[in-house]
Amino acid sequence: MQPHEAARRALRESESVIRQLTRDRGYWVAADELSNMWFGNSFRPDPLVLRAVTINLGCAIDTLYERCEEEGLDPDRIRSLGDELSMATRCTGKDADSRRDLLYITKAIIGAISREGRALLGRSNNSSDAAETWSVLWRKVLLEHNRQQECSVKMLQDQHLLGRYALESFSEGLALI
Amino acid sequence: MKGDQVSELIRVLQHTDLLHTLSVRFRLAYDLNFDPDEAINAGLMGFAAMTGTTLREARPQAGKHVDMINSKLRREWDRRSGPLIERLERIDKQYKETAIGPLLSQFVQSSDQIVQTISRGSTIHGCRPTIAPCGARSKR
Repeated sequence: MQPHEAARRALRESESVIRQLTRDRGYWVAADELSNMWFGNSFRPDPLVLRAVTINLGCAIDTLYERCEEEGLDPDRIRSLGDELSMATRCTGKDADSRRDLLYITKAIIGAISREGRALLGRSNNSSDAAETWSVLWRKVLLEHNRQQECSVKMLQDQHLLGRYALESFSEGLALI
Repeated sequence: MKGDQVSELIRVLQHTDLLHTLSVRFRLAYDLNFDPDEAINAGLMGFAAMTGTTLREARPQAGKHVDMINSKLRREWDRRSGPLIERLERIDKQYKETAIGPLLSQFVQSSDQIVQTISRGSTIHGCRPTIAPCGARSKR
């Protein structure tokens, strides 16, 4: 199953911007290698889609949350990545002014994957349930990833967090991470 | 992947906690070697809870207790790994005879190899990148 050319172009363009704006080259060499080690031998996905879903998107979201801590970016703006997935699916990344805005690019990559995932499952011999179920799972995974990052950011800002949960042991502290 | 394998994989993800189990295991593995320079990680959370301090108060103090924190992290890793591995093995066994069985087994095995590498603190070209959706914070 191959994605449409328009989706491939969106994923290629977003990859180029995300990799320039976030980590250094060494990080991406290592990330590509790790991603291949993990998924390449078993599921053998399309390499561009694999990089987009496993490392480009994850790193883009992580970087946005790092900016909350470092630059005061509002975590609620990033939460819209998961909460407003329907809006993200309409985002094509074609607005020239926004092409280097990491939040916009991240929405574009989510949009491309969301549309293409549904289309691929719809085109193949799977039941229509597969496309719907995949959509629900994809949304859930995104929300969980964002919730985890948001929780980390808010923990640092919240002076009373540990007191509120009445944590007393090292082991209990780990349960929150 | 063939169409029936894709459908089966979606069913596995829908009906099991495979992704969550992998996520917890990877997060613990990444944080097993305490890095006091990180904004937040498992070692810092544990230390803050143990000392009854906020994360901001705990951060400078935690840097003075790296060995103690590492030893507590290792103990938690030993305690929590068994049940997580059992959950993964149960899922692997449950779907062994299905269309996705062999690929799923291979995936679970390669996941375990990567977790072992990460938990030893090993790096790839000096980096320890995370992979969504199972990663926590990206390590630059």
